[in-house]
Amino acid sequence: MTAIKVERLKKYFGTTKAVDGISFEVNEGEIVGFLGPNGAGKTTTIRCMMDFIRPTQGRIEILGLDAQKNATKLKSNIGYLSSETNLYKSWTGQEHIHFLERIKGISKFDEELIDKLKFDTRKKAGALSTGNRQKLGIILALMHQPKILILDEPTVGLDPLLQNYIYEILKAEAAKGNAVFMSSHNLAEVEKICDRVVILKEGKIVATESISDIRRKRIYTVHAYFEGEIPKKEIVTDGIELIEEFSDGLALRIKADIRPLLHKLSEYNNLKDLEVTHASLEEVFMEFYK
Amino acid sequence: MLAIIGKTIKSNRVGLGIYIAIAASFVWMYAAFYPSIFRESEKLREAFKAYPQDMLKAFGIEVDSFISSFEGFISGEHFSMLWPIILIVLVIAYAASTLAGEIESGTIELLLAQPISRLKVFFSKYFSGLILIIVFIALSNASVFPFARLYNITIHWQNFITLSIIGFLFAFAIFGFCFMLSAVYSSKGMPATITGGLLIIMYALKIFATFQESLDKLKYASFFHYYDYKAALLNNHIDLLNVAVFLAVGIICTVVGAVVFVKRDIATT
Repeated sequence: MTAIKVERLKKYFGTTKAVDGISFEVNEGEIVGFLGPNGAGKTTTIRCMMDFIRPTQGRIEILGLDAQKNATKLKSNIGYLSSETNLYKSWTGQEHIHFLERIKGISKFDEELIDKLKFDTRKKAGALSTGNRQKLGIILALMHQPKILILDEPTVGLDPLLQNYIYEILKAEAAKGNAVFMSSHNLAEVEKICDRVVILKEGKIVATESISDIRRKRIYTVHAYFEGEIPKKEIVTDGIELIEEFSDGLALRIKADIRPLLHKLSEYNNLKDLEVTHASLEEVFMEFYK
Repeated sequence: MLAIIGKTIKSNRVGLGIYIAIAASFVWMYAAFYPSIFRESEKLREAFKAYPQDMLKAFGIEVDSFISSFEGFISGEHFSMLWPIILIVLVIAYAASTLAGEIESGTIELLLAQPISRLKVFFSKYFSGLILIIVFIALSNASVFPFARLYNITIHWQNFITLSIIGFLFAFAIFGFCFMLSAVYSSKGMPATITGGLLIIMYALKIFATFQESLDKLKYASFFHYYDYKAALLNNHIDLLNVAVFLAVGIICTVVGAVVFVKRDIATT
């Protein structure tokens, strides 16, 4: 079942088209990564989902309800973490937790989170390091075990051990049927835990793909070395991108079937060496960013 | 709603205590001065004759009442300028930093991410502010009673209650205006600057209106004209027009602020 449905969402600030007609869905039990370069419109989309800002056009449905008209009701079921983890500097962690418990009810999960994240609740938020602020933000977002998690860069500032713990929690939440929608710049993290990615660029979606589909995308880097003359013009044709030129060879990128290129290269008697490597998932992502 | 009110008041309690302590310490000082002022009233009356009468009028000092009663003395010394300034600073500091300040710092997202409507967030912060104002007015003015007793000064307690009421209405109007701006802007500097600037202009208008008869009507554009502390302290009286003006400004600004806050985009920086 669809947990989050964004339909033709547009958000303009004057003449700036921050988000320009995007549509995507997040299903229950799914972890969806929201990727894109800075200024692509990720945070604007998330703020529209949270009803902090109102769409210029389009509609957002969360758990089958209009996210704008039912914002107050829906927030009982949403755990939200902002990218800045804004906290009250003069309040301790415990005061933040207690404040949310007064609003949303007693949490049965906060002690476990505090314990696992090794978070000192007695310190004032103003005295916390970036990582500890992030820990508190995560505790506040997760402590009421919401059906929907909307997280803006959830593991920024956390060490690898804690990152892994967060991944475990998010996977466990998804396994329970809850939906996780998270923006991230950490491509390895996205590869590790997300089922699907929505990639945004200049306010538009450039790809919505499952991680397995992205893995199947074939991008090759080919290093070809020649003795004597390099047949650059003949080789660098449509679909073949020249990355670098050496004194005795070429570095090429090809985003399609590699066999025609290999066949062409084999026809040159002065070809002395050839190296073919698969692009990493990170490089595939970067293709969308460009 | 109560959770927000409770937390907001708790967060501001130290600041509020400082404001009350400052106001009360001035009351203490004036109460300590007053017996000697009363004893030397004739000399003081002579001294006042040397002052430009317009200046005394502009700063709300009526020599007869200033010398003859504690209410007259403290109205000229404390409630004409110092106490309203402390009150104004408290009101602006809270109102500007509450909504606009929380948008600026980003903490508003923590509130808006909870299952509380924006209207409830607005009025939780609003009522918290009113409670802080009431506590400040009540305690700073109540400090008159022990200090008057300490120095054997006879006072008319009803007049101080009347003064507290007009003082509250004055603060209510300023608070409503500044809170409205706080709902409109995303940084606390703008509401504080606009409200502070407007009050300085209003004060100047009142002074000009006192000095020049041709500018007399300007006084109606000034909150300081409607904040009639002398009528409250000396005659135990509040003009209904003053009540109406302050209530109208406060209520209209609050409604406008609430509508804007509910409808606007709230994007933290």
